[in-house]
Formats: sequence, C-alpha cells, structure tokens
Amino acid sequence: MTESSGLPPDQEAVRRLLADARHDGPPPPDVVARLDDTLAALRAERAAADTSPGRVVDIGSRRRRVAGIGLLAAASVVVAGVALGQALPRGGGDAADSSAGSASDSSLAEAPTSEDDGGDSAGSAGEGSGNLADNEARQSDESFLSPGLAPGPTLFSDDDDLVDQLVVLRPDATTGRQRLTSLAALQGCDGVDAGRWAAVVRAQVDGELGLVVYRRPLGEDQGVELYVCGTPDPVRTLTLPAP
Amino acid sequence: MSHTPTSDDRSDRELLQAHVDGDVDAFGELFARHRDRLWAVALRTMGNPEDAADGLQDGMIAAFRRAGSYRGDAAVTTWLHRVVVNACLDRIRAAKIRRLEALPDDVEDRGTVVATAVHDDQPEAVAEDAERRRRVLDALATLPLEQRAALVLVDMEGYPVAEVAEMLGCAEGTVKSRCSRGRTKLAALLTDLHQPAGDPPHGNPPTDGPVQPTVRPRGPPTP
Repeated sequence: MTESSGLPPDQEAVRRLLADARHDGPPPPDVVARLDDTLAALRAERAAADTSPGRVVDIGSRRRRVAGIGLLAAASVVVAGVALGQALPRGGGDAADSSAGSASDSSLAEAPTSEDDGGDSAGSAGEGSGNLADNEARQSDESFLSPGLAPGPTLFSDDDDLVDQLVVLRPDATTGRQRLTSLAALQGCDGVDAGRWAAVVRAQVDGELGLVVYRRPLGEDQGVELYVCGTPDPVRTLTLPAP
Repeated sequence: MSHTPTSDDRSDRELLQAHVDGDVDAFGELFARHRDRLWAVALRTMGNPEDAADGLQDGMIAAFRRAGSYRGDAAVTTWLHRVVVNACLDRIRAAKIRRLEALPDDVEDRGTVVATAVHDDQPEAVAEDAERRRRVLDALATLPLEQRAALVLVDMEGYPVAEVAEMLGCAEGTVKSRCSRGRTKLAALLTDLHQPAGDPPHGNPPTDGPVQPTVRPRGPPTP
C-alpha cells in the first residue's frame, strides 16, 4: 500500500478504508476457466489466420493489400453509387458533392499527426510518422475515385486523445453522401455489423484495416466503436457527447 | 493460463516480444503473472464479479491482439493495466452505468471472504469487517468513473501516482486531483467509519439517558 503521505486526516482515513477494501486473491475458478477458453480461442484464431502480431509491423505489404481491396471495392461502390444516386435526394450538383467529399477526407487526414508524439518508440508508432506523406498522397488519389475508399486516418485504440480525434472525424450521418461513404467503407471489411443506422468511417485501427462506427445519438451521448476488419467485436468502445 | 505463472524465467518484455514473434504460449504466461492484480482492479472498478469478468476478458483480448502496438515506453504491467482499465471503463460507459447506480444486493465479493478469513473465530468482527467493506464499496460506486478508477489504482492497489497517470493516460496532477476529489466525497459518505475514537462526529451527541426536553411540552389544544 502507499505510505502515509501527509494527506489531511479525513483523506488519509478514507485512503486507509479503501486500502482495507482492496481485493486479494485470484479470480474465481469460473472466471479463470472463461479466460482460459478465450485465450485458447485467440490462439486458434491466430493460427487459423496464420498471422502473428509481429506482422503488423509489415505495413508495406498490408497497405498494398489494402489498396488492392480498395480498388476492387471502388468498382462496386461506383455501381452502388449510381444505383443509390437515383433514390437519394440531391443536395447539389456532382461538383459540389465531390468538393464536399474531398473536404471531409482532408479532415480525416489530419488525425495521424497525433501519432508523431510517439515517433521514437518501436512498432506502431513508427508507421504513423514514417508514412504520413505517402498516406496523404494515396488518400488524394483514392478520394478522387470515391470518398469511401480513402484509407482514412490512423487511429490507435489506446491513444490519450482518441475521443478528440473521433469528434473531429465525426461525419454528418444524415446526408446521402455519408450513407454512400458508409456503404463504401463497409465494403471489404468483413465481420463488422454496423447495424441499420450508423455512420461508418474507414480507418487504420491499431495498424490494421478497420472501421469507426458512429451509432445513433441517444440523448446527450453517442456511442462510437472501433473495429478491426474481420473481427466482430470492437477493439474499443467510447461514448462521445452527442453532436 | 491456469498454469502456475512461475514456470518461465523470461521477463515481461521478453514474453510480450515472444508473443509478437509468434510464441503461442508467451501471452498466457505473461497474463497469468499479472492476472490476480488485474482481476482486483477490474473487480473494484466494475463493482461486481460478473462485469469484472467481462471487463477483464475484453482487456485480455485487446492486449493479445494489440501486443504489436506496445510502444515500450512504459512497463509491460503498466500497459496491461492500462488496456484492462480502458476495457472496463469502456464497458461501463457503453452500459450507461452511472455513478449513482448501486451495487447489486447479491454481490458475492470473494475478496471480502479472503480478507476476513483471519477473523474466523470472531463472527462479530467478521460481520463488522464485511459491513464496513460493503459500505466503502457502495460509496466508491457512487463516484464519477474517472475518480473511481484513480482511487482503485492509487489507494486500493497502491500504485504510484506517476504509474497510474500512465495507466489512465492523463497527467499526474490530474490523477492527484481525481483522488483528492474522490476522497473528499467518500469522506462525507463514510463519516461514521473514519471518525477516530474519542472524537465524536458532528451531529447529535451520544445519549446517556432519556433525551431531556429543551422546551416545555405542549399541552392539549385549547378549545
């Protein structure tokens, strides 16, 4: 326990009460068994995928693969866009839509700069800073094809300012363009169920291809989930103040 | 994971790197080393064993999958705590568990049983200990999430403020402030538990006999 550190008497007394109420001992057997089962499932999943976390460092090959997926998805999104475009209300001309989409992508591209804080550490931090220019260049190209296919911002689920980043990224989910963008973002990202009402933004999550899913605001809160593609469970769930 | 976590001489950092490099057993060994303390943190943060098990499981999954993003600028155990605490806080936020929500009446707090086992031959002391702990935990559950997490890590688990700041992803001053504000609220809720003997709390004094009236009793209403 912590030493007595000159706290006022009331606070020191509370500190002692809390220290006395700490939990000692292992988890109960049913929890241990559950953790063991989960760990076994994770090992099996890893073996089945034949990928180790170490390969996350190999961003180059992953990004080439992602770009390939993106190009394939681009074709399908263009088709979907043509079809949906007939049904959705038009808020302006095609040129206006394109510029709005580009503006949205530009805001997304600003997020990776926060990763520069950790640029001297190993693993994921290096990929954020080292590929920024390349990332922006590719975003520009892919934004031309379709706003939903931009690789999106680089996010890390344990970033201190993740909430702020997500607020900046938050799209207007009520627009027809965002519906198209969400549809496009979901293309090529299996295993994620975004539900019927959600705004989806494509992103690199913990070094993997992933999605940010903004749920329908409830009262003063809006739930947001970060997914890695191919994984049905979110790697992080947060609550933002409703827009 | 249920194996004894002393069968491997590698350091935490070596185990995590081995996991990243594909060692199928390394993560289980690493997590088992810290499992009990992570469980204690999850239990006290979530307030009940069921939610704590969910939070700890979420944290374990996240740590397993995100081991490659470990930056090496903090101890592995600090990183593990951070991942588990974040998982717990995320669960609480997602479930809209708010600070005034009380612990379930049927909470089976195994920690209480363990900690009070020394009083097995003193049933009254056991009951008093259990009641005191229950009240402390109930009061803790009323605190805002951030204050609760800081107090669990600093005052209950005894981690240094600097390390807790890394776990919670905030400044040391923020941790101190959260702890101070949390303790102040708890002090108000638990006044009768922390008033030292011989220093009667504010309010009504103890009575040695019948309460003496301070004003003349009213008579019957006049017609």
